[in-house]
Formats: sequence, structure tokens, C-alpha cells
Amino acid sequence: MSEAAIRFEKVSKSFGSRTILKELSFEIGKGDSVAILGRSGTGKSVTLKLMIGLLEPDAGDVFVLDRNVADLDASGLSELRREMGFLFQSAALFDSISVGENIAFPMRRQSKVDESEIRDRVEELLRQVKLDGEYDKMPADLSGGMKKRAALARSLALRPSVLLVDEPSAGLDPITSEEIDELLISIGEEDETTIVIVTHNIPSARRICDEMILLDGGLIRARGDLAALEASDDEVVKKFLSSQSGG
Amino acid sequence: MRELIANFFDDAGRMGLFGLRGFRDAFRKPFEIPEIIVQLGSLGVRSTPLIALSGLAVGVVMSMHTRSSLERFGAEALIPNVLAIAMIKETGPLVTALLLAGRVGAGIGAELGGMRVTEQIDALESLAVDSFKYLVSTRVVACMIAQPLLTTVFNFMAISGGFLAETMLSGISFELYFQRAFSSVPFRDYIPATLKTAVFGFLIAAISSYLGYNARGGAEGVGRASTQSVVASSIILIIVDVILVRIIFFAFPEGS
Repeated sequence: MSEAAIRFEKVSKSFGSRTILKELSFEIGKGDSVAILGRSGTGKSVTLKLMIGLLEPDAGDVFVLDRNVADLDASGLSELRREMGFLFQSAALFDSISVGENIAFPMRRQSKVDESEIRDRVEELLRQVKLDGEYDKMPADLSGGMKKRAALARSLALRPSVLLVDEPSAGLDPITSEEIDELLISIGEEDETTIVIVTHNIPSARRICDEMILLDGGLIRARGDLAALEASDDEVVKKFLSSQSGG
Repeated sequence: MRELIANFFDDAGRMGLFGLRGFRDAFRKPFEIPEIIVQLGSLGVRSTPLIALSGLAVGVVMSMHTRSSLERFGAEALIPNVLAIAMIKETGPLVTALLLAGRVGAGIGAELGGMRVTEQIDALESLAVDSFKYLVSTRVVACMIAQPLLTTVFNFMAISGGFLAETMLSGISFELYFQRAFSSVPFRDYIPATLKTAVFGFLIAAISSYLGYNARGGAEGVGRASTQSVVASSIILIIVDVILVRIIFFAFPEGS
């Protein structure tokens, strides 16, 4: 494995009496594409939110780009987040501003580039996610797939070195889902971005990622490429894979 | 009952601290001036028609009621004075605040609640933006600026409404009416009564931002945040008004 972009060291997280992660440890190398799989409630999205500091671990350490997320102060965390992108399951576009303004938002906030450069970058991102000419549309006027693509463009605006993606195919038809997958593949290949995807969708994970991590009961149940997971004798892994259609 | 009272003070304390943090953070870099201006437009300028129309209506109605009472004593000439004192010292600030609690409080509660349940607040954080400062501090400051200005609009429109009603009934001239109205309310009385409304603005923004920012549970949670924002703001405004009136009487005895 290459140098680690993300490292979890004995990370535990509970909500009330419910333990989600139990001393979870793993590493993801720089430039790798990894899918985190598992049943609902196994802590996949929690793992992603721990990486970007939206949640704090109860115990253990989360290192991203060689920085311990929990030790960072507000400005350190902001600096780290500038190097990361997050595509939310619900897209989470700001509904009071247009698609173009959504994409321009992080650039206006974080970089000292002039308006014409921002406009050019937004147009470039819109082309990349196949939303050319949709700059002035409001998020409410977009379909689910278009919202996801616009949100993906926004998460790429600051050229992140780590991209976190929460359920990219949730609520999308198979064709639109495949389009999103293609975009993620091209981002991983062209920009050597580290991509971490949380998904239920094994075909999608197989298309995008080199490696998969299966979470179960707050721990890693299996890790490897799809062939390695399919070859596993573990009943939980077998059951999970067999429950997925089209795999 | 004791638990209910304890919960009320517990919630009020949390909201107060939340609002104070919002106010304090407004003075930390980066200053969110463009967003404060956007909020002034959204919370202040867009509330002006409602406030102006309400002020006019309240002025007309109060003038008619005052006339029917003062006529019995042959004191109709005092109508402008009575109306101006009532509006500027108490009715204007409180009614404007209650109207704003309805319009702005519900709006902030619903907007921030909607942003919370659709992960837009998390999205702001993930884009390295301090969501608290960007969403809460800006609204607290905008409300504190807008509230005294809107109260002044309300007062002016109410006194003008009183003039319209009075001039139709008694034919009083514009100059005489306004000269009588403002002769009873010196500037030193206008200032504390109007400035206290900045506290009302703070309360409306702090309470509704707290409820919206911490909303949970999808569309139902957003609806709850919106409704509770109006109810909680209105109750606390009335309680705080009583306290502020006592403080103003104590600090500015010549105005009482």
C-alpha cells in the first residue's frame, strides 16, 4: 500500500447506549479508491463523518493527510477540509442559490481568485459533470441525478486530494447511478484523488474502487478486492454479497 | 410544575448562551458583512410592508378608541399626545417585536431547520465554513439592527394612521397634529424605548436560530422548529419586555 491518506487507530464511537464503532483500525493509501460496505447502521456514514471532523471519536485517533483530526483547532480543521471534498447522500446543495453559485461558493470563501477565474472554473466543473448551461438553475429545478452531479462539482471545486462520497447511487436509477460512477472513476484516474465511498451497492463499488472494506458490528469483517471478498468463507460476508443483486 | 419551570429556565438559558455566542462570534474574523447585508434585506427590508401596514392599521384603530374615551372628558385635543406616547414608549416596540417573531422567527426556524435536516449545515462545515458564524451570528446581528429601524417605521406609520383617522373626524391639520404628538415624547424618551428593541431582535434571532440549528427529525422537525420559534419568542419577548420597562424606569426616571 502507498503512503496513508487516512488512518484510523482503534476508533470507537457510540450514540447513547448504542455502540457504532469498536476500536476500528485501518489505513487508506494516497490515491486509492476504497469502498466501505455494510448493512444499514453499521457505521459507514459515521466513519466518513469522522474523517472530515463532522463527528469526533469517543476514543482512538483519526489521521487524515498526516493530521490528527481531533487535535486540530478550528483553523486547522478548516485548512484540512479545504483539501477534502464531501459528496453527501442527499447532495445537500444550498437551495437558496443557483447551481453555479453553489459550485462557486467554496472558491469565493476559500481562495483569493478573481471572479473571472471562478466563473471559468465553475464552467469547467459543470462541463466535467455534464451540466453545461445549467449555471442559473436552482437546485429545486434539478432531478436527483443532476443534484448529485452538481454537488459532486461543488465538492471538487477546491481540487481536493481526498474525496468522501456517501451513497452515490442512493435514490438514483441504474443508468444515472452508472453515470455518477463514471465521473468518480475519471476523477480518481485523472487527479489521483483518494476516494472513499460508502455504499450498499456492490456493482457500483466494484466499478469505482480497487478495494472494499466490509463493516459489521463496528469492526472490519473483511477487506480486499471483490474477488477476495467473494472467496471468503465468512458467513456474514457471503450473506452480504449474496443479498446484493447484480453483483 | 416545578419540573416544567426548571425546563423552561434550562431552555431559556441554552438559547441565551447560544445567542450570546452568536453575537460574540460576529466580531471574530472573518467578518460576514456580505451575509449580514443579505440577512438585513431578507429579515428587515422584506418585513417593512407588513410592519408599515400593521402600524397604519393600529394607529387608525387606536386613534378611534382613544377618541371615544377622551371625548367623555372633553379632552379630544390630547389624542395625538396620547397616541404618540403609547406608540413610542410601549405599543410600537412590543407589537413590532411580536410581528417580527411571527414573520422572521418562523422563517429562521424553518430555514435553519430545513438546512439541518437536509445536511446543508454539514455541507457548509465540510466546505470549511464556520456554519454557526455564517448562519447564526449574521442573523443575530441583522435582527438587532433591523428591529429598532422597523420599530421606528411602525411608530411613524401608527402616528400617521392616527392622523388620518383624526383629520377625517375633526379636520385637524397635519402640522398641528404632529406638533402635538411629538411635543409629549422628547428624544430622550424615544431612545431607550427604541433601543430596547435591539434586545428583542437579539431574542427573536437567538431563539429561532437555536431551534432551527438544532432541529431533528425531517419535515416534522422543521415544522416543530418553526412553530416553537414563534411561540417561544413571543412568550420570552413579553417577559423580557416587563423586565426592560422596569430597567428603563430605573435608569431614565425622568422618562417614566
